[in-house]
Amino acid sequence: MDIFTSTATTSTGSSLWEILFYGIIVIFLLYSAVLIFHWFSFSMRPRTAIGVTVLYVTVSMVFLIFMTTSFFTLISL
Amino acid sequence: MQPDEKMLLVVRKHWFVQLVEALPIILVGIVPFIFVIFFAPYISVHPALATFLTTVWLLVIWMMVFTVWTNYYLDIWIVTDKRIININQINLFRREVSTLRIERVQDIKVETHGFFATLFSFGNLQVQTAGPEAAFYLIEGIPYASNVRNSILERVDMVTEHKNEIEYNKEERPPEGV
Repeated sequence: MDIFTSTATTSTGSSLWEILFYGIIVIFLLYSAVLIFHWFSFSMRPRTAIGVTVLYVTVSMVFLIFMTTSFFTLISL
Repeated sequence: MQPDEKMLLVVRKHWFVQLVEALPIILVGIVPFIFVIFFAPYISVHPALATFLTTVWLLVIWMMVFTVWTNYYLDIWIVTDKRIININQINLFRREVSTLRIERVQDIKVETHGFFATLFSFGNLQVQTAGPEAAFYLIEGIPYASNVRNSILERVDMVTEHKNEIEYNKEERPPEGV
């Protein structure tokens, strides 16, 4: 019974974390696409748009790497 | 813009106005660090969970900062030799563009309110238009508002003089067949 309970809890917990993680990734990607579209579509100089995109993507990648590694550590517990 | 139109000025809000708008977001961004400094010794949280929640938090803040910056950067006034184009970027999905012909500008009022506005030389510019339905166009927190006003009025004077010259020449010309 204990094993069943703990397995069920772990399974539900993992799926919740996964939903949260992939949900955040999808929202991030969609929102970033909207932002980058704005930078390249409206009255912004190409150099500014490229600079902002590079800065945004680079720092976001750092956050995403930390988020992903901590996520996999969490679900492997 | 029209092909024969020349851009004279691009006016954006002062960076300080933008900083004030972004400050609450930046302050919210440092909440996890305050939490770690003051509460970490009392609560036992797995480091992976703390890292996960902090990075999610910072990622959201990072996106919000860029949203505010995008709204700031795309919210501009373009002064050309023919028109004043006001691009009002309210949020990412709401954008209003209005134009005002330069000869319709009647008067421009500059307002500087407050300590920081005086210190950093920014203010509000209020453009009054001529005509039966006189209206005001307002742009807030622009740097060196007086210089912008002078540039626009200079252009208005040029256009008005040019228009007067044309009308004068029309009146002076003898009617045909006399």
